[in-house]
Amino acid sequence: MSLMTSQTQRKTITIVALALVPASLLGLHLGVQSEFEKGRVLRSTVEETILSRDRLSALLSLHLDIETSVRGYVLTDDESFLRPFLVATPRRNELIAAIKTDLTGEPQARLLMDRLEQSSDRQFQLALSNYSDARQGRQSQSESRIASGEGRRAMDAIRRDIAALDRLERGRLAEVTSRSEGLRGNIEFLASMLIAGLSLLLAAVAIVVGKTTRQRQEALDRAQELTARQQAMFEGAVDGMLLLDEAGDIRKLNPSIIRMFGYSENELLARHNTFLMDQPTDLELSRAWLSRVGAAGLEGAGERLEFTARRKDGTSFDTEVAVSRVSDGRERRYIAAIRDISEYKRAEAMKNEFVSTVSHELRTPLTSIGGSLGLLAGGAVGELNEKAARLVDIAHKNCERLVRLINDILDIEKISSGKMHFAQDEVDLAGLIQRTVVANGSFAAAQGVSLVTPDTDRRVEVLGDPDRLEQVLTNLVSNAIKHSPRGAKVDVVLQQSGSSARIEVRDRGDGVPQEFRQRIFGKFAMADGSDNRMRGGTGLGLSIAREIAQHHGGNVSYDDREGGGTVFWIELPAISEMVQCSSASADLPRVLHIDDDRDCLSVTASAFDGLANVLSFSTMEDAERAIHEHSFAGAIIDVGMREEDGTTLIPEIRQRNPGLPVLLFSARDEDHLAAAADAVLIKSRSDLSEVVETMMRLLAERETQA
Amino acid sequence: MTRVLYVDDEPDIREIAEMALGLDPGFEVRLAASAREALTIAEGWCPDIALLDVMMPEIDGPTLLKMMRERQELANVPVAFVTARAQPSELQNFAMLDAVGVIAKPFDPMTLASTVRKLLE
Repeated sequence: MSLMTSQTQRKTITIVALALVPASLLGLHLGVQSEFEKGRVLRSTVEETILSRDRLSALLSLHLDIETSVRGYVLTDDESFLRPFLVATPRRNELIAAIKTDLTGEPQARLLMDRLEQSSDRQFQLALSNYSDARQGRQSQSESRIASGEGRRAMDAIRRDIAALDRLERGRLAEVTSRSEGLRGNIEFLASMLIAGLSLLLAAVAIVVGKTTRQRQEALDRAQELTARQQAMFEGAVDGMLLLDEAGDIRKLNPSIIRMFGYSENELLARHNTFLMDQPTDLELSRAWLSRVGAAGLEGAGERLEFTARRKDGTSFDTEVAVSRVSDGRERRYIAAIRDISEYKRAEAMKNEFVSTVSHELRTPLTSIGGSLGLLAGGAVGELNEKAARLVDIAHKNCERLVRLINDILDIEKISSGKMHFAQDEVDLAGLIQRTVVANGSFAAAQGVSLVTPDTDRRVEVLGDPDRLEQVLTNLVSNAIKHSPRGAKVDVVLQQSGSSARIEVRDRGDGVPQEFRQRIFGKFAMADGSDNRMRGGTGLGLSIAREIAQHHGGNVSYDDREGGGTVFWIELPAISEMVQCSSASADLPRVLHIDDDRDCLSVTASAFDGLANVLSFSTMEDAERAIHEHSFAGAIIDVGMREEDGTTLIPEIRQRNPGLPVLLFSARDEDHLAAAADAVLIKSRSDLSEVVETMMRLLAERETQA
Repeated sequence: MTRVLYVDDEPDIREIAEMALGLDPGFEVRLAASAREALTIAEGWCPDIALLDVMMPEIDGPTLLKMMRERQELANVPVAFVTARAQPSELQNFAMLDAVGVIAKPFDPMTLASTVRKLLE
């Protein structure tokens, strides 16, 4: 959880950092651009300043020209001196106007300029006056004016003002220059920031790329390692391994396959996997199986099936094949692991042979020993003296015990290997109890215990193996006898609750010891080896009993008995004595149906659903009892019951239910039947709806007659 | 007298069986140690019932039964198997070979004769 959070945080930080870098670069770019703009403004200012200083110096030299030109003309009266004066006259106005424009907005400069303009005007007026006087021949006036130094003063004033203005401009230039220095600093700073930012970005990119590359390399390494491992597993597996495509064709195989089947790799590649199977029927099975594993996806992984495989030399051998789907990408592939189980099969056959031999080889001498002892103990060869009789008795009993032990061990082996055969007969439990009680009668008598089973005319049937069920009950009964004190009673009681039949064997023994309860149904379980009464047991009986009961869908267990002792019980699913229509309603007429075919009973009852309450019976006995207990409105009777004829019921049911309509539903078509009943339907010719229709019609007729 | 033929390769068991069957005074018992001997005896004697051991060297009990069925005079002799192998599948096979019964070894010598009487009924 915290790992995930920190990972998420790191991711967020990385994204923010990567977004900040271009943003700051953009900011830097805008900053640099604005600094360059400022620089451009400064440069134009500098240019203006230089221009205006040029103009100032031009104005000064203009005035010097005017002064020199006029003075030369006054002194020499040579008109050629006047040329600069004539040129300067318009030029002076232009320059003053231009300088004025240059200096707009600066109060101090404007003030100086005004003064300069006045000085310039005065100097020009003086020059003009000198020129006019000289031209009109008043040379002396001009000369005296010159000598008065007025012109020189005006000239000085111009020089002073120009110098002041020039200083001002120089100052401005200096200021602009220093501002430009600052600007350069800014640009330098921004540029270095830009470089730093770019470097940072480059570094970040380098780190990210490096990291990604490393991770990719690691992933690649891992994938390669995994592939190598899988490859090694595939190549080195003891089991034969096939890589199959969706169609079941072999795409790859391992050396074990070559060893197992004797084919070369090239002989098998692109062949269908059934090429390796022995029987042509296996082909269909394989295809069906493969598609089922494919459909099941990962759930079907590792499903096993046994195949008979065929080698190149034509010999066949048993295999167990497990198929797993390996990719759920675009292409579906399967790995089939083929195991040679011929050794296992051989071992199993050997074990069976061994068990069979042991059972035979042990029983043969035991037959002789037991037979001899039996004859001796039975008095077949004359009376033995007391001690001899006792010894023979001990030997005989232990011989019998050995036989039981062998039988139990064989039973356990058969159950655990799933080879115990169970018949599927209808077993009447009351009869089973009677037989068991009789069989154990002499043992009970020898132990001074009375075996009691209450008389019951109740018939409870289960589906199963009568001999095996008798084995279970015998085990419980003989245990109860063994653990009962002399003079005590052992009750064997049959019960039924719902669909469950139960036989209880109740004793008045000491109960099951606490420490034994955990393992009472385990193998070779005996409460106390030194317990005399336990002699003759094998410790396998209850384990076998429970296994057998569980094979019948039931169970064997025990409860403590009130007042001391134990109740051991067998529970088995009962064949329901009476199949009754589920929607039984008191308002509907009750119809008796007897047929030895349980399926027929069941479907007929359903066919009458909502029309009549059908009570169904599969035996004459049950039906007879029901006739005594209930009244009926009608009867459907099967003629060809297994042992008896259903028609024999008719007189009795009619006697108890006068006027009751009887429908014979028979497999045979016989003339005499018509006389015995109100209607006859033949099973092969009539369907159920006809049965229902006929019975309902008969019931309605009877109703109107009444 | 009821003629009973008992066939078993084990001499001890033959002896015990003879004594056990001898408990019924109405039985006349003859013993055979092999299928061949059994056939020789049966052909001249024609028993009322034959008790055959299942596992015998050379010719086993079920094969002996087939051989008896192939001989006209022995075709209808009731046969019961006496076996130390009580595998249910084998018991079923015996039933299919129209044996009248199967007696499991070790048998109770005191009741063997009455068991055979019941099979004869």
